[in-house]
Amino acid sequence: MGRKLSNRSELSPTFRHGIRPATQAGSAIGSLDAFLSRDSRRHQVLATAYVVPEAVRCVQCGICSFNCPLGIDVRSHARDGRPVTESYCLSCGECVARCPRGVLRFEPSSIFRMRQGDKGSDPE
Amino acid sequence: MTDNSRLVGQTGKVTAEMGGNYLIVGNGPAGYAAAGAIRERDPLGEITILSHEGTALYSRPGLAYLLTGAVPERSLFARGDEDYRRLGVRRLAARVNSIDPQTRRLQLHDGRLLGYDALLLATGARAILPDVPGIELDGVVTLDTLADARRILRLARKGRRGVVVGGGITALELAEGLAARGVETHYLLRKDRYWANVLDDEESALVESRLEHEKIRLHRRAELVRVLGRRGKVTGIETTSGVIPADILAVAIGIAPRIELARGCELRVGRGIMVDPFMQTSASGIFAAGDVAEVYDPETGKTMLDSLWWIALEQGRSAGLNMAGAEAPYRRLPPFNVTRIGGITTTIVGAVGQGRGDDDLLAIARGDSEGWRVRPAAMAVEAGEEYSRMRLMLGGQAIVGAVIMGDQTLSRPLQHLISREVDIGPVRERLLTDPSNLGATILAFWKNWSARAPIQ
Repeated sequence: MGRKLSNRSELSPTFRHGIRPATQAGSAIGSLDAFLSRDSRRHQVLATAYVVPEAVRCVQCGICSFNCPLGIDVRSHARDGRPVTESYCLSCGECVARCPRGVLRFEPSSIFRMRQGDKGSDPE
Repeated sequence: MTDNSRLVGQTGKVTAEMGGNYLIVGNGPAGYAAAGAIRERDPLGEITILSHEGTALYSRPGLAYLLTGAVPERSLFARGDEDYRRLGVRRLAARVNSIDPQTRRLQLHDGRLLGYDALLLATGARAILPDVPGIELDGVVTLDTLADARRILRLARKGRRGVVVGGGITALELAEGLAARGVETHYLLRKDRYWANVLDDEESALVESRLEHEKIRLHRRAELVRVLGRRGKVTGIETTSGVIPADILAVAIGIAPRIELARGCELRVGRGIMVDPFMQTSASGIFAAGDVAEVYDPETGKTMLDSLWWIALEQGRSAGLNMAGAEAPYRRLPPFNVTRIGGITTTIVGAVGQGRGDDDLLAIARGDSEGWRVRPAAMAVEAGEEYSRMRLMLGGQAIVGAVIMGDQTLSRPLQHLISREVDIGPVRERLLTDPSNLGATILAFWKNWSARAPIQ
């Protein structure tokens, strides 16, 4: 877990909104607004939901992993259809919002029961 | 000689004992999935993936997002060297010259001979170029590979104006990619509207309005006549309605399966390589999967080509299992894709065809399926607002196809209902008589159904 974090922190796009291509980020003000509103929404979501992929929709483009501020390899979850159960996932919604193919969604935490049955947070 | 007479019905008989020697030609999703499936059954076998690129698996659909700048190149690699090592799969950058099915050997470009017990042809497809003067000029591009995407980005840095011809998803990916890079982009439509054999009038209009919003200039009833150039480079595009000065011509008029190798060793080919239900070609021990494979569809009784990531994975997996001696028939599910067209997230599933030809595509494009073009014996019901639309094709018993644009709430429900051919008898009448409540009716029906049936 820690290894992944330090390996991938360089990729974290949260701190690089300024250099994201204009087509993605919109105006600086707009993206700040969007970020703040995401941030407040995220606290709601955080307590109630987590990210669930649907493998059949995924084309492994990597946008989700690239945009994860914590460097979670969301793509590998999407490949295998494994929910993102990493305890450090912020439920920030970056991956859900940016996936161009509707692979990812938030599932209410009532399904958290599944965590006992799945392989947990360590891929492979 | 190969036995061409009985394709369907041949069994996926054991082609290699444990510890077999497996060759896979092609480094796309079909090839990789096959390698994984072989390894599951044969821990000792030698597996080699040959490709002219020699790279690890990357996301070809993701090239569109590389063009727009949504993702950097290194993020497109879905597998790394470590994954291949762990699977025990060797990668070899090579071109295959020829195959001898009798001696089960293939010859590489440098003359080397490789033997096999089971061989998979997962060679994919390549973009078709139109037969017009000037098409060989520097500045004419297609979008098949990472190298193509790099070339487009290089041209876009200097290029000021680009023209796109073709249809389907790839043409829009090219247009939107160029526009995102600041290239003034013109899109030629031979007739009046976009993707007329899959989308209906209103769906086309919705996409076209979004393209115009993105400052992509549409030219209707404009046909490519010739590419103009100077000193080997594109300088303009002559169309039936005038000349557009331009540095780039991006072409997406369809793809053609790469069947040369198969043809060279007298495998049975149609538009693609013909395979039986076990993904085996007409030669024993040689299989095909992915964009190159032409697969029998029990629904329509016809053979079909698809160019979809998930279908390639499934076919590759099935081929791999059969190569390693299983009897795992491939079952073709209704073709399904979710993608953005004109910036609108769009799900297309099942048979939604308009029963007419396509003016801009000579064959399917990438991210496309011949199955979508099938015009079902069904009634279309639709509902929509400004940027969200839904069209269902209602058969006698089940929903046989759907196009969902914008709001994707019903994307999963409809995917499930269509692929499982769920009997919609209880709500069919209501769907037909009360289209304004289409969404709510489907959602309620699906919730009820999925509470009783296992999903996934």
